[in-house]
Amino acid sequence: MGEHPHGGVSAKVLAAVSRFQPQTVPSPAVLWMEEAEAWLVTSYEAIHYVLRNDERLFRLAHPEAAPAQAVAALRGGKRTHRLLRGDEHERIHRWYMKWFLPHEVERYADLYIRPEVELIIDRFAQHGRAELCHQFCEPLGPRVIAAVLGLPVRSDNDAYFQQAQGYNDAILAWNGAPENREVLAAGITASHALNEMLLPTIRARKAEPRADLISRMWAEGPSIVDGWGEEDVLVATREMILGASGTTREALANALHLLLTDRNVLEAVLRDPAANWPNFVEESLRLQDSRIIVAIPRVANEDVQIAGVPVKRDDLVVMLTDLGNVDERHYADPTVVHLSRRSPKDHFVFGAGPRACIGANLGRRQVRTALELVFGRLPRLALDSTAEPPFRSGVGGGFGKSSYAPLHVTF
Amino acid sequence: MIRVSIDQDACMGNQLCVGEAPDIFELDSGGHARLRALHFTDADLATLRSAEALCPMGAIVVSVDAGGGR
Repeated sequence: MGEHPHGGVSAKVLAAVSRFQPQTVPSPAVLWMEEAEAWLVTSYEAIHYVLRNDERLFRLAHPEAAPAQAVAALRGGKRTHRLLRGDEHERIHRWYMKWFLPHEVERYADLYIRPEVELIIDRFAQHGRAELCHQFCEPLGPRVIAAVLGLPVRSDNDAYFQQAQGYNDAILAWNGAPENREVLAAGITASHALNEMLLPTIRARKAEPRADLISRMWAEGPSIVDGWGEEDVLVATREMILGASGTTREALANALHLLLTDRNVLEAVLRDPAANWPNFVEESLRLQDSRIIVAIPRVANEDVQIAGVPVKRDDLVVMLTDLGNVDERHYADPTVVHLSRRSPKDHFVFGAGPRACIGANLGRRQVRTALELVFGRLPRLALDSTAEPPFRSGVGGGFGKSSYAPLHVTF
Repeated sequence: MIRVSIDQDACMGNQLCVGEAPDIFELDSGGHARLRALHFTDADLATLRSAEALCPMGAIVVSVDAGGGR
């Protein structure tokens, strides 16, 4: 089937969808694609149905097909929430979500996000020009999550963060080459190296807890999961680092691109910043997934109907959330930024249902804070018309590199 | 009196409320959250507030009239 070891679609399915490349929701919105051997689910309503019935009517695409030992070696341990199912997944997922409740994230904003953003801006604010992807978008997510976790690393330790990113890139490389044993071996080597970077702090926090997330994992984990131990703390730490890095970069880069290429949008936001920045962030996220392919697979647990279309038990369904996010049957003027949509968060960028993104609140707050501060400190920020213009590849979402780059600016 | 409402348009079926408070929330046949009870006591308030905070969509609203729960 078109499943992938980490839960993404296989290269075969992605290639088939790429050739299809619908620009809008087709009719019917749920259609069988023979070359992908999968149902493509394209409308907002149909995608919403699948996601909110995840873990009941649908399941992850064949996680059993992935060599469990290999995935565990890549992720740092067996109990990665990405592969768990049923009650164990529900308990861990809900517990993880509590780490990023709104009031916790506001605390992180005061303690870590604003200071990190200011430090990052400080490093280029005097130069009159910068390339924001590399100098602003990339550094933010890893530094914030390192601070939240309590990793003892300074924000200006670029070598540490570059090394960690290199390891994560090697670990994720298997996503694109699941049959390649050399890529898998390199990923496992990188995983072990990343573990060695993290384990000293993990062990230290067990012995001497502090007011950080790793200490919280130790304190609360035993009441959540039987046999909670060092491997579980390591897996959770690794997943937080992985989840908070590339996605923040992409979201921030795409938001900046939108604002820098349409001054009308920026001016509209600035008419009432407190009210408009949060809604702009949601619109930017919703639109960032449009015009690229974002394919999320699931398998039907039983015979079901999706938007009136009969789907058989064990059929693969692939949700094209990029189309759902601009479905005109759900969104008025779907390709336009509207700062007053009734439910601005109802897009699929953070998924939905029982596997919705754990760090969504943290991601949102980082993007919002970064935008507020960079446009506040550099009000004449503009794309540098003499430099290479931004470009974006057509496939991505999740951990894929799907953001506009480079972002050469002057100010 | 404690009042709880669920915005069905905002509900994305994340099911966090059901996991947090299975005696109070359940899923309907369409995968949306709904209340299992209509009356709440002060003893329910902490759990209700937790479910309210957990909902990523802000679909759950818990309000307390003067006088608290029954």
